[in-house]
Amino acid sequence: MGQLTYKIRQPSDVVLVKNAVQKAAKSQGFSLLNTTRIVTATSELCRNMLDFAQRGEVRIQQLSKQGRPAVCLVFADEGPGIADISQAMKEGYSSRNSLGMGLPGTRRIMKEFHIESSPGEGTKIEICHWQ
Amino acid sequence: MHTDRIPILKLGQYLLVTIQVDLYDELAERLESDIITMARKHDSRGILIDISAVSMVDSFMGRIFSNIASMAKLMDAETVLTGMQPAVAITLVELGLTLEGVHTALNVDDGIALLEQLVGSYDANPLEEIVEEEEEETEPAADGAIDL
Repeated sequence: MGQLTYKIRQPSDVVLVKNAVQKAAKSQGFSLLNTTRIVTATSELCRNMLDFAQRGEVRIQQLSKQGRPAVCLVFADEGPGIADISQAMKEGYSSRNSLGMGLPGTRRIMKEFHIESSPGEGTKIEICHWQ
Repeated sequence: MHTDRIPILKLGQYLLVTIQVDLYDELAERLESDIITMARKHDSRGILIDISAVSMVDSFMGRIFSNIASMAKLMDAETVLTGMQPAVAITLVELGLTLEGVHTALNVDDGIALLEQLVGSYDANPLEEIVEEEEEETEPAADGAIDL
């Protein structure tokens, strides 16, 4: 049950994290579809982190959830934070030029999704997925 | 920092792009502008993007594909995305992405056939032929030959 932490400062760091998440998912026996889901979620959340907070870190944990091997990820940054989380979670809402699918879409493809944020305090998002 | 580029091949009246690496943001944005520049340069009628080697498409990449299709459309070209893996398709739908304006086909063969169909039907537009005749004064005989 390993734990790895990656710092995110530039887009090329995201590639490393995605590879590490893919490896963790594989070693937990994830199907190709579930591996794709969690790697896609990782990509979405890393991009948000770079766009809004410029930097942050991602912790990758291989745990057991409901008796099944799971991969849990924590995305933590010290960026501006989100004033209105329910608005940010709304479909089609975007504070920049995107489709506004990032957060609601990520929540939909993960079995567990938890977000904590307030202005000036940064943002912490935890996701978990299992086979 | 990165100066990598995704190669774009000219294939007759089409552009052929095969994505075989993980598309990070800069690379994707560069691809977008390269495709549009090349489509303009070669008067391309269709753009085929093969993603059979791509293991993940997130909302950013989805937006890039939609952008390419919209820009291409404004320049009178159609865009076909080929070879999407089933897991990628399922995840895209679950994310809520519809890839507006992008045609899809199972593989490159089908993609080219689809482009032939899409662009072929557009060629039948008589207005287009008049415009071409006016612009290309050097080849009136060739245009006439096609009409026969």
